[in-house]
Amino acid sequence: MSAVIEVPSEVPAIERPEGNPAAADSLAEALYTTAARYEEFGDNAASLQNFDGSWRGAAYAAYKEAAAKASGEHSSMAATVKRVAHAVTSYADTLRDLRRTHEQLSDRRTNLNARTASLLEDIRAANASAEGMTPEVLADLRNRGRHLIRLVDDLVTDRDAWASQVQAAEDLLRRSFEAGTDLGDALSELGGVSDTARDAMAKPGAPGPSSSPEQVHDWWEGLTDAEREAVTSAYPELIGSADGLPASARDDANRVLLDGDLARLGAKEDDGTLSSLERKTLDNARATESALKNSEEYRDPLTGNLTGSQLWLYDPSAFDGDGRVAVAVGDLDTADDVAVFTPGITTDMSKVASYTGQMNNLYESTRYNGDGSSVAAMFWLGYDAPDGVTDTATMTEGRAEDGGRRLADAIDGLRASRGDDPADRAHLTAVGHSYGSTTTSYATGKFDLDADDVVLVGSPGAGPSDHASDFSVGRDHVYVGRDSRDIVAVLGDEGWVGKGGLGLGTDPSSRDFDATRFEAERPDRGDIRGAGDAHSSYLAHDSESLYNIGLIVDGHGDQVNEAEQSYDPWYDAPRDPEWDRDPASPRTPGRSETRPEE
Amino acid sequence: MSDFQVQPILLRNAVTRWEEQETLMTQAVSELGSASTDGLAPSIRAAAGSFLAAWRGYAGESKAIAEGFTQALNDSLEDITSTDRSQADTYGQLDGRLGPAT
Repeated sequence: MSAVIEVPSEVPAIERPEGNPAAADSLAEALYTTAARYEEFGDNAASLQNFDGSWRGAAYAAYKEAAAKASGEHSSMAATVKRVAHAVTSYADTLRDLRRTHEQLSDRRTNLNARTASLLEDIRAANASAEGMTPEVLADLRNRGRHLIRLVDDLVTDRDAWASQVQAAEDLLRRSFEAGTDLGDALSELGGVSDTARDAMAKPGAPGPSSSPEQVHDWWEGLTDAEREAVTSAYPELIGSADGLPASARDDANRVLLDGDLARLGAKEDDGTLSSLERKTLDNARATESALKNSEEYRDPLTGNLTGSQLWLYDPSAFDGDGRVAVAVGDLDTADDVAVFTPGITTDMSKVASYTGQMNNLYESTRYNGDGSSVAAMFWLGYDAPDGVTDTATMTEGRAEDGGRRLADAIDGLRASRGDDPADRAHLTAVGHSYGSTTTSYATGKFDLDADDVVLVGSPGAGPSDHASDFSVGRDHVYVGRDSRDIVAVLGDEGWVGKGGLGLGTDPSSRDFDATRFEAERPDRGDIRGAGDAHSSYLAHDSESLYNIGLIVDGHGDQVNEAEQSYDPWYDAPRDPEWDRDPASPRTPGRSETRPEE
Repeated sequence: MSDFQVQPILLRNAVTRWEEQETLMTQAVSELGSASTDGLAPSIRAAAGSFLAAWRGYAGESKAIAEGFTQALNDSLEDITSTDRSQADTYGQLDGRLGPAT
């Protein structure tokens, strides 16, 4: 009697995608350099039209007209070649991803073919054995065969999908080149933009002033992989800052922009033609590159795995070169707990690497003392922070109010990017430091910030809110850290007497405000307020403050080590009960231990 | 007749900048000529090659445009200074005094 055992066929070798990412990057760099030359031509032709009245007459009028035409056309050419360069950068990035996937598919193939060969060998052995093919052995071999067939089917499905992505990436870049080759296309506003990208952007809900984050989310969900690649490559500025899109999509687009700025402005630097704004923009791009490099080497304190980082916002020339940027440690698309940190005065994009390092600390503390949930911590500089204590904007709340609106919008975008399934909703904590705490107070006190918890540290005042219950998160979800030696954190009003407008509203650590105050004293504090770096140590390793903030970000604010609120008796100066408390030593379990032993 | 005024030094400065632009576009022609499409998959290379060839041509045209501005401004400068010199000679020969010429 014969029995049938189904066994999968051997899976043929999977061809590696052709092309070389590093060489493609070199081509992109050459195109960015060309874009720089055309930008310089356009800028020069524009500036050389102006002789401040020192050349007048018919000849000048004719010259000016010719120069204006040359300026406009060369600026258009610059934009087209830059778009094509972005497409090449995007292709190189995609090719890297496709190569990684190829390795994984090849490993799976090798494994499955080996298992199939082993099964065939076992079948032969069973047939040749003295007992012959017993029913038990037959059943086992059939089960193995069916299981292998399922695995091979899955592999073939994944391989075919991957091959389609390879084809789509090649088609997209080919069409981008074709769309920027003819002179008419080169001069057009859509030069270098593929039809796929144009059609996708014409669909309802595409990023733009009339689309809500939820509509943008739905638009993205409705695009094919090829369409997503196309819009990322053709419109990286739009995709990189579109609220409602997944962080991974924004990250892809922003890294294309970053690579482009580094190459294009680097070429201008070599040519000696950088304007002062471009100088700042290039410095900001380099600072961002450095921040990403550092955070990409950072490992989870519990698993030892790389956490990864995401460039969620990248706009290096914003605010006259102060820049806008947001970098996350961890995965904003999937993390159970998300922290968004808003910095204060003197913060511009040049400090992105330092602040991203502090996000590593926050991530670390949250995980180390956490409940095992996944975490992402983002440094968000999406507003124009005042330049310093001498900046008149520091003493007023205008920037904080504008920043609060922007922060609330950013959080709405983050929320929408994860869809409306409650299971996918993150526990989100907004952390504001210094002037950034006032900005955060505006977001939650005036613009209905959609966070779960709010943490204010080193706060000069809570802006529009007199009481924690004014915040959108509710009184029980407002936490405040104030080092008693922090001179900025005593500027706010702590009682009805007030401080004559010295600060930016009510001190959120005060009894009157009635938030939950947590321990935030430094072990090496002195006897003089303002000495040392009390104002800038709230996220320092193995500190009381970082320990408590980590618990809040993890969703366990009820477990913080509470501190007594400050108060301002009418008959005397304000008092801070924390002034005389002995701070916990560094690495005290349950008080200030925020990371594993080094 | 149009209102006319010129400061030649500013035209000379403009000439220098247009010459610099001409140099940059010459470099662009060369860089586009040496850019390689080897890093791309074969199915893209023809389109990329056509793009680079076309843009090498455009960069050459742009170089010629910059050269044209340089030349025209130089011509203007030369005409203006030469006319000024020639007019200076003419005015220098005028006899503005009363009485017989000396």
